[in-house]
Order: sequence, then C-alpha cells, then structure tokens
Amino acid sequence: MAENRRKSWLEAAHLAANILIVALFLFPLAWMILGAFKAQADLLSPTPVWFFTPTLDHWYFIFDNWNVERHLVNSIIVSVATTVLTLLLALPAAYGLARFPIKGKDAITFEILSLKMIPPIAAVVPLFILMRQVGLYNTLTVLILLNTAFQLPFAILVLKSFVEEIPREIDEAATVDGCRPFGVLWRAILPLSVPGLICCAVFVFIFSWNEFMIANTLVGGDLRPLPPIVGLALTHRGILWGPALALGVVVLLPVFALTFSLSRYMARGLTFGAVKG
Amino acid sequence: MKGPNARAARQGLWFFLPAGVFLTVILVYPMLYSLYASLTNMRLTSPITRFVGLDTYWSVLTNSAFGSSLAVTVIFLVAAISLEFLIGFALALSFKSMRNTHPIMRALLMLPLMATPVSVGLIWKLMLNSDFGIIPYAGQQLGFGTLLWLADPILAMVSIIIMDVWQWTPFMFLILLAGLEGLPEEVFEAAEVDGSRSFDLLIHITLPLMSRIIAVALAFRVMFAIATFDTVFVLTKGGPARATDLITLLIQREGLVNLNVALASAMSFLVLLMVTAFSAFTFKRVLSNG
Repeated sequence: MAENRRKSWLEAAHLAANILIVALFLFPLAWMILGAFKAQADLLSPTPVWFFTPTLDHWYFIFDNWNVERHLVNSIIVSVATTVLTLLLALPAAYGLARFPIKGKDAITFEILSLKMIPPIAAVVPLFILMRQVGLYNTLTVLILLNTAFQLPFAILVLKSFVEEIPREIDEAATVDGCRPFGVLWRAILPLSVPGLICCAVFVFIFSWNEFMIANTLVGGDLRPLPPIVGLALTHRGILWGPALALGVVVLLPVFALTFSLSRYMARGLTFGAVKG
Repeated sequence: MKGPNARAARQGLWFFLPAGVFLTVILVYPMLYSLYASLTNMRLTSPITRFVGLDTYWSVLTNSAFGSSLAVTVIFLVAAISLEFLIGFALALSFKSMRNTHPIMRALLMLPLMATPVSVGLIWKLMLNSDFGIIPYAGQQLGFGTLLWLADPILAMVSIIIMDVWQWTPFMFLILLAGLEGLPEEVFEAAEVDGSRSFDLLIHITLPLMSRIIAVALAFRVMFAIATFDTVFVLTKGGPARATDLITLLIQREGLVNLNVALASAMSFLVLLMVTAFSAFTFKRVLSNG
C-alpha cells in the first residue's frame, strides 16, 4: 500500500519535472510572443513586465510601413514552389536508387550526402557571381532553384529510406499487371510513399521558409521573402523592438502550425532516414 | 555487363537523371567555379583576375583571422554539441521511463528546432539585452551583478552556446528517444530480474545498444553545426572584437562584404576539406550498416 503510494508520488513528480523542462524550452518563444503585444514602455522596462494591456500597435506598424503582405506572398511562393519541385525531382531519384542495380550506387548516395555537407555560405559566394551573369539575380526563380538544390539531397535520402521499406513484391505484382517502371512508380510506389512525402514536404517547406542567407544575398527590395526583412529590422540604428518582434512572430506562425500538426511524420526526417522514428 | 541487369541499371539511371543534372548545374558547377576562383586573385572590386596558384591558400593559412575563427568555431562546436548531447540524452531517458508522455510534449519540444533561425537570434537578442533583457535581470536578482552578456567576449561566446543548446537539444532528444524506444524491451526486463542497478544498466546495456544511433545523431549535429550562421549573425554579428566570429561569418564578410572572392573561396574549400575528412570517417560507417 505505502509502496504503491510512494510510487505514484514519484511518478507524479517525474511528470511534473518533464512538464517543467518542456515549459523551460518554450519560455523564450512565449516571451517573444508576449513582447510583440507589449507597448513600447512595457517592452523596454528594465524590470520584466508580466501583466500588461496588450496592444496591436506593432502589428499595424509592420503592415503599414514594412509592406509585410508583399514579403509574406514572396515567402509563400518560394516555399510552395520549392517543395513541389523538390518532391518531383526527389521521388524518381529515390526510386531509381532504391530499386535499380545502378553501378556505384553507394558512391552516388555518399556523394549526395556530401553535397548536403557543403555549408551554404561556401556555395553562396560563387552563386552570387554566376547568377548575376545568367540574369537570374534578383528574381524569385533563383530562390526556388537554389532552395531546391539545397533541399534535394535531404529529400532523396529520406524518400530512399521510405521506398526501401516498401516490399518488392508490390513492384513485382505491378509489373506482372503490365506496368512499366514508370507505371510502377506512379501506381504502386507513389501511393505507398505518402508518409515519406509528407515528412519531406514539411521539412523542405520549413527549411526554405526559414532560409536567410541566399534570400539575403541574391534578391533585394520588394522581392525579398520574410527572413531578410527580420534581419533588416535588427540592423537599423536603434532597433524597433516591438515591430521586430511582431515580424519575428509572423515568420514563426506557419512553421509552428506545420510542426505542431505534422510532428508525428517528422521524426525520421531529422536523420535523413538513418534512424526510424 | 549485358542483359536484363544492364537494362535495369539504365532504366534506374533515367529516374535519377533529372535530380542528378539539376544538382550538377546548380551546386556542383558553382563549387567548381569557386575552386577556380580560389586559385586566382579574383576580387569583385578589381577588373583584373589572374591565376596565382596556391598563393591564396597560403595567405589564408597565414592569415590570423582565419586561425582565430577556426578556434572560435571549434570551441563553439565542442561546447554546444557536448551540452546538447548530455542534456538531450538525459531528457530522452527521462521521457522514456515515463509510462506515457503525451505526444503533445514532444511536438512542443520540436518548436525551438524548427523555429526560423533569424527569429531565434531575435529572441535571444531580446532576452540578453543589457538594458531590459530578462536574463541580465534574473542574474542581477540572483546576485551576479550587472553582466553585459553581448559586450563581454567570454559571455558573448557563452551566449551563442546557450542559444544553440536551446535550439538544438531537442534534435538530440528526439533522435535518442526514437533510438531508446527501438531497443528490445526484453533486455531490460531480464536485467531487472538480475537486479542490475539503473546506472549499471545505462553503462553496460543502454549505451552499447545505442552506440550506432548516438554516432548518427552526433555526426548529423556536427554537420549542421558547422554551417551555423543565421542565429549568430543576428545575435552578435561575430562580435565583440571577433569573439564569436564563426568561420561561416568570416567567409560571408570576406566574400559578400569585402568582395574578396578568391579569399572567401579558398576559405570555403579549406572548411570543406575538413568537413569531408570528418564525414569520410564517420558517415560511411554510420550509414552503411543502416
């Protein structure tokens, strides 16, 4: 009896500790969101203000002065197009690598991973020069192409790990039914890869949504997506803290909505399929 | 190689071709161009570019900025990744031993990881601000006096490490938790019958069984951490006095601000060389027995 009670006490304490840790990790995000609704005086007060009358001033400010709608639309166009293009290129490549006796397959897989290891800044410097030469500098197209290139290695490897789990008998059955390889991909592999496609789509969308360096370097003015605008808000002389925080929250909202609703598909993506989540 | 096998290989190559061509044009070609640039004295501010062989590499290696950025990067990587691993593993063990943790708690822990890096930098710049930040305030209440987190070289390094630990511990946590959940339950039950203490269990059973997953998690973390840029760029811009000037920030400044393309390219290749050396050791092994 006493033993049992002690056990349930311990369990409750354990749960409380875990909740406390999660809360600790969420605190900085919560603090930022609160800040976006604080009046200037509350925000810049030397003693933290916990209770305050919320204001929408900073939100009106960013929509009136920083043209946020325009940059939001840019971000959506770039992220959606990148996601679609990446999946279109990655699924066939993953299927080819997973199912066909291509010579030097392991070497190719390793090369793909090495491409992912290039720190983006190493590629951005030459791309800055080359994209000016081919006239793609300062277009949304260049952002879509480059984001796709940076996400493609990840997408191929994750999808390959998902395709490899589909039993080969399914391919064989489809082949017996008269499907050619493309038909097998379209009719058998594609429908069974949906969890993998969702996993990839979430990550590719979020990564291209979050991308700062390429966007900050290769486009300017009205064509910039949101992250460089956040960066800009911080470099002005005397940071406008309120609007900067409101903008920071705008950028985070879609990311949080996606992460929160699709997190169960995402665990495996973290290691490019190397650890099944 | 002839017959059906060769035909299948050709078919497979067709499926791979679009992605392969795309990657070659958009990533491989610029990298080759960059390799060429690193062997010249290319500057966007000067119209004349000539071939100088390995001179640029020599000037990078004798350049004190490169050396100090390398040191900053190594300190940052070692400190941040060790902390992330230790905290992440402890958290994973704690969550694993709960009978049922709500999936919402995991989803919530994923938020710092997926958050837009510029916003992450903004959050910590707000919390560490010496005039109204909540962390200096808390430090003052706890009797540490007025700490200038972002103006002191050592505290600035601590700041970027704290920010990184906050952002990336969930990565370690989620991978290690997935690993723990994949372990065979019977091993632990048998050990419990033997009366093993939980610490012995951890050292002699859990860790050896987890070794591959730990290697995967660390390898990926190192790979991502080397590319760290946005968060630190927003928080400290490499300052004060280059105390947090990661190698990526140095390359960005040389290449895109000073427009010294040759120097930036040579630095990039030296970094790439180190990453490749590292990954050749780890990844081939880690991925091959997957």
